[in-house]
Amino acid sequence: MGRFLFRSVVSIMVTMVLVSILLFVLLDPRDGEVLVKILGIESTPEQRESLANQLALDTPIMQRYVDWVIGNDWRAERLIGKDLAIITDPRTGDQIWYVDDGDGRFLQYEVDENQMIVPLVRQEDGSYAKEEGLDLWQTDENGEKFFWGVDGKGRGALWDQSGATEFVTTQTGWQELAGAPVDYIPLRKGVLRGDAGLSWRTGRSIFNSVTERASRTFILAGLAFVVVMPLALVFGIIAGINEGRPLDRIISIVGLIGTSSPEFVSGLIMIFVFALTWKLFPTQSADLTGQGLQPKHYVLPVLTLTAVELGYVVRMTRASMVDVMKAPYIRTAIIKGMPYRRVVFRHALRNALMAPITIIMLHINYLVGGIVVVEAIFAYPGLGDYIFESAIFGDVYALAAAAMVTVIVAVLTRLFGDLAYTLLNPRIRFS
Amino acid sequence: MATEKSKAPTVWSNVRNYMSLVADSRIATIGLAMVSFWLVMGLLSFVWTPQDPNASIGIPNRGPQEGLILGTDRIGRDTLSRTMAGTQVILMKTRVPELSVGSYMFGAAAFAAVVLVLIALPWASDKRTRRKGILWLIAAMFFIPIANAISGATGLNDIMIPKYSIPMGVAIWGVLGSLTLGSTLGLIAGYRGGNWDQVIMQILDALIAFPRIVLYLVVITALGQGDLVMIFAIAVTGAPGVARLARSQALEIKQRDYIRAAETRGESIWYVMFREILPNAIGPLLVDAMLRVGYAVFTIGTLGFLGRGLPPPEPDWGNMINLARPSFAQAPLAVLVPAFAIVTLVVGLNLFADGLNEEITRYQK
Amino acid sequence: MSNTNEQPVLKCENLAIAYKVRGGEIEAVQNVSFEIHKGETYGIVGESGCGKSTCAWAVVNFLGSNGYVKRGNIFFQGQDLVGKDGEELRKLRGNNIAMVYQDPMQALNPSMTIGDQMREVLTVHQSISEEEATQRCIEMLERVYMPDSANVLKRFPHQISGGQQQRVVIATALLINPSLLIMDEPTTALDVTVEAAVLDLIDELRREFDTAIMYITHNLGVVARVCDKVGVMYAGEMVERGTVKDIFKNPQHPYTQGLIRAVPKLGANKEGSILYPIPGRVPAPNARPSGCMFAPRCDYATDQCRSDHPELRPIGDSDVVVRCHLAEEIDASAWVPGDNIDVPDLTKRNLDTEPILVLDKLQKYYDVRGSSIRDALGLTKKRYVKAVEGATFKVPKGSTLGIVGESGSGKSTLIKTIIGLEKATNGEAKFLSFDVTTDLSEREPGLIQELQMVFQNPDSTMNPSYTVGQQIGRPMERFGTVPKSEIRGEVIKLLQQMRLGENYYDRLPRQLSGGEKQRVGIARALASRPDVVLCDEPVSALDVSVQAAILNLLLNVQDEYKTTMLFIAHDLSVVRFFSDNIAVMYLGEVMEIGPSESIYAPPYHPYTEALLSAVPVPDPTAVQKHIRLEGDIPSAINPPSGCRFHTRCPRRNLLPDNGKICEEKIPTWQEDADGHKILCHIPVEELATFDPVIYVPEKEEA
Repeated sequence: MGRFLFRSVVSIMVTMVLVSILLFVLLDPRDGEVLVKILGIESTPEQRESLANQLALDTPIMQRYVDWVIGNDWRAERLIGKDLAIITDPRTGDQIWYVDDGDGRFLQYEVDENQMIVPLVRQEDGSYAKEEGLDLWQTDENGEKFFWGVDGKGRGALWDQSGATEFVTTQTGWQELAGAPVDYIPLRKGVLRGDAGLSWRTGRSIFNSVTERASRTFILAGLAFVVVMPLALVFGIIAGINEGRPLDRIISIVGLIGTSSPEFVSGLIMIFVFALTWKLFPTQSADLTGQGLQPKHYVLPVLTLTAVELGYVVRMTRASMVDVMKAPYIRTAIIKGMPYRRVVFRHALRNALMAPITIIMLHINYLVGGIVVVEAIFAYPGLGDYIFESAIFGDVYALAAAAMVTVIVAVLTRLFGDLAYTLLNPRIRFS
Repeated sequence: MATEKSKAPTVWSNVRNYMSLVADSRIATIGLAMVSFWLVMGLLSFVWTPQDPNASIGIPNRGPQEGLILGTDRIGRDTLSRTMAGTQVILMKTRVPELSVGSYMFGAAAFAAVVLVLIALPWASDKRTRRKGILWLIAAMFFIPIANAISGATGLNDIMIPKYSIPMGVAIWGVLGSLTLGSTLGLIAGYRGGNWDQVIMQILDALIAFPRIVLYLVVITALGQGDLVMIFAIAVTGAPGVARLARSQALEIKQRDYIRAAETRGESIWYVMFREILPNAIGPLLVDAMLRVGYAVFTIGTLGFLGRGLPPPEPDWGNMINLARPSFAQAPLAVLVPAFAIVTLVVGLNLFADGLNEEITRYQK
Repeated sequence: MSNTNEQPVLKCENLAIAYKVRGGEIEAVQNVSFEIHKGETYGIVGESGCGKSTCAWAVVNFLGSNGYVKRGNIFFQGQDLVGKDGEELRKLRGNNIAMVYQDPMQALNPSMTIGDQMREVLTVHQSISEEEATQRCIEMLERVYMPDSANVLKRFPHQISGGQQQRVVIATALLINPSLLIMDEPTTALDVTVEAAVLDLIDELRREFDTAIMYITHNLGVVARVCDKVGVMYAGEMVERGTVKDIFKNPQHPYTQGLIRAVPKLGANKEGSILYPIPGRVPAPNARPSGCMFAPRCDYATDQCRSDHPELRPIGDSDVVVRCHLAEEIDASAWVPGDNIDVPDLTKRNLDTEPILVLDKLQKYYDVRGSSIRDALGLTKKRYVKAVEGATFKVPKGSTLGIVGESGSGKSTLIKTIIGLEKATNGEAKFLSFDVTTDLSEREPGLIQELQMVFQNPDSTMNPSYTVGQQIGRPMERFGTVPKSEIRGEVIKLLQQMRLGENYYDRLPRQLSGGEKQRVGIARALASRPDVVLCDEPVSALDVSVQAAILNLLLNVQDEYKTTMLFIAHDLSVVRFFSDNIAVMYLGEVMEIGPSESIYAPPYHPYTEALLSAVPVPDPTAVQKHIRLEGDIPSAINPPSGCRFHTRCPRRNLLPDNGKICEEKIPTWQEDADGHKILCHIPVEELATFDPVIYVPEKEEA
């Protein structure tokens, strides 16, 4: 048991590392397509280059991977020479990076037209007060002046006296700003420390969005799980002990049709029947009125997931039950003269549930996959919807982080499945 | 050579054997009929459809009418013709886009590298051929950089080859890809066992941990939409499942005495894996492949519905449903007909595989 | 219901059982009639596919969804069971009929405790409280000599040994005090010494409980040991029945005679241990002849036999009934083997004294992985399964060494190590001048070619995807022993030597019978012309009539090719006439080794003595010494100190201090004569004073 847990934990960690590398390498925005997405098709090469610099896409992929996993604040701290602090802006709820001055002041910097470095001191309300420009420049071995600090947007930044410019989007369009840094470190603590940076699509913290949406998705997945599993086990067992009889055929065929109908097919049909024709439930599960989601919002998504998932689990349970009913120990029980009911419930059930439980847990994967589609159909603001939107936009870090969450769910459920198997199976428990 | 020759067809004769079992099973026959229906529809659509599938010829969102048996979609195209032609991209043809010679070189190098790795991995896992295997593995690492360097230096990236189509659809190529990849890895893992098993399965577990649709979205986001990308995505997502099956088959078959006999003849690992084990594992793998074609159809439909599927202009069932969705209430057939196509094709493949599987189990008893 | 003696507990009359299959039905069993009385053990004996088990399943109405009783009646205590509805049968079964079958591990529910499985027999049918039920279960377990009964109830089946599992199954069957107990090969899956103990138990319980027992087995030795009466089945029919004594002494049916000639005897001398096979094979249920079922294989068959189906009829004034037209005319004692039977030549050739294989303290350990975190991190001390320890012997060129041992004795590991499937942990092994402690990946093809193997299981010895010709041809092709163009001819030559015709060349394994598959397996092993062939129980999975043919074939082949053979067997009966030398292994160690005849007569190693006493002898007149080993075979991870056999040795009390020395010191080899060596502390002179285990009284002239 101890060895089993140890191995599982090691295996999960290795899996997560592999998954993160895979995601990062695969999603690496190497051809700048995403810049076009953000800046628009009419943007100029200079604008794209500037944005790439601001997003640090011009650094090597290894560097970005490390930054993404364990953060880059520690690297920035070394360059700046002071501690960094992250403080929530009370006005927006966003988390902003500052240089911790050490005497209770939190600073950002900008460079004014006189090539002086202006500290921006954070005020209690989240705004800042400009101080007098100072000559904080440092000199490198070539005699060039440089300064490492945090810029007004909370990014680690390197200024020099070359007079670089940067492009920023504003509500009116494009703006070219002078006195801009020449290099950026988009500060983050890394996914391991619960910070995956900011979303390119929404500009909000990816971590906050993902947790918020994942919690909604868990509600949906949990509901679907609670509905599907008991139903599936019951139907599977009924079909299994009636192998080959009409009841078994009906359950199997209905299950097969359900499993073979993609979520968007069954979902649309349900919307057509229950929402448009009978008007029992809303067509969309989005929170349109701002009153929060009502139970009625969940009915159709859960039904849709049930339609797809049920058949699969029924099939597994049925197969397992059929196998067990043919086992010699069932023969023993029958020859011992045990009533049929007792044979099924006392002798067969526990053995029959062992195999499906691991498979069911593996199947949570498919459930999550189905949820992506269901959320898209019903506009349910969950993790699946987030994944889908991020994928469409090309918001790769957001997509990677959200995909990591689904993978974590998958490996953890698999672990639970293995544990449940161990608990049900005395051969493993007592060895 | 005599024995060489007579050996080669046995894998095929096994397959033929399984095929003859189809006739014995009512379920498999029904499944095959459903699949054949769509195959015939697809083939027919190359030479004849009631209307041009891509032309707006009728009044949008109408029900059945003269010449348009199943009505029209949102922009007045014939639903029946489009549904028939929708078989093409998944089962009948794969469209290769306009690519540069450099891209071809990259593709060829990547393909050769994968093949080389698959050949060399078994060698590397055997003490006798380890050196050769590792050398080949190292060589495989240089294929892509060399191809890139050549095409970069010679300007091959600027010479374009126009688009064309190859036979067999995306779903089929994709499943063939996962079959090759998965069964080789699974056989090594199962037959060699030990550390090889652990490492291979650990890597594949990482892939299996993704919800299928998420992995598809990731791949498509990374590489863009296209038939070739879809094939890649199907192959990669399917390979771990195939590998698990191949591994469990290998684990079971390697207990048999005839494997011991091959080992005591000092047969190479390649011989044992592909000549002794594979022919006996091929049945379940083929049955599984049928199911996988079904999954692929299902997923291509889903991605099409999400607007991330196969690119236009050829009609794609999922995309058809997506387009018809806003006017579902007015023109339900435009949604229901392609939906029916997906469901019947997937059910057909499932029944076919199930029936075949039942017969194989009976046959082996 | 006047007299219990007159009313049989079970009576089958003209029973015919059929299975519905696609396109018709198959009559698996026909014309079976017998009756079993109270306190009687009735043996049903026959080879596989003869319908023995089907009869049993019919009695308990468990023929599956496609089987049914087509004709005839089954009377249980006077009531006809055929046509009774399910619920009535269930009650009857639960209260009066119990069944024990082959694999006890399969028969017990893996996820219920033994207590739960036993108690329910009492609590479900009768109003007995849990506590009382528990008490009765404990008592019953004690009666079947289960150690630590109270605790066993709390365990799961996998936590006890196979022999104990079978005791649990038997105890469960006896809990309801059944009138009829059906036993279907209850000891076939067990080791000989365990089997012997279980057979003793069955015999004892039958006397004590006065139960009627229907005992199904393929093993004539077991029948001779436990049964009173026996019915012999062949091809779905009962061909002969009578008392065990009569049948063994004077078998009437040619099939019964053939069976007895085909079974290893363990008698007093070597000549008596020659086996004569029955040619041909049991016909499939859909291909049975119209006349006498046995006619195609019968030495005496006449035209009448081939056309008329014989009925069961009594012979003379004995109780024996037989299904044979010619029963009176056949004189079994005058039988001589026909031309179609290979008879081995026992006048032994001169053996080369030059050894071809030399083992010196060969050792094979397997790593054991523990299940705790500390084990996973490698913090605990490494543990090993000591599968083979210090194997030392020489095998002369052209001779046969029989290696005998029960499961866990390390005999399979030993030959796997020699052939290179495993790498030796320590010690020396030399084939001629080549080192064979390495595994196959380090051996030259030339060496690999010289050591080949014949495997145990006919169903897995051939690759189902290739034809016979391809599989035999492959070694020739691989080692280049035969030019490619001549392979076909060579393969056919080999096939003919295996008594298989040329037409087998293109057959697939599924078209062959078990015996034919084994022949192909032997041909494949011989194809590369090896010097040494290692045989891993090549006949243990075959029917007796086929077993004999394969053994004789091996002997003749050896004569012709001058091959050296190592032959593994799990009991001492098979290897006797076959081996020049025999080694007896226990728990990884060779306990006794010597020329084959010396093993079967004192002085024996105490373990050999126990083995000999455990083998069921197919002769009800033979007197066999009763020696039973106690406990289970110890774990090879922590083998007993000193002599590995000391924990179970029935003879250690012959030494001072109840054999204290056995626990403390590893014994040294004591040499008797002719290189007969025994690993025991008891002086060989004392061992030599033991009585022989098996004694067959001279037959009185009939």
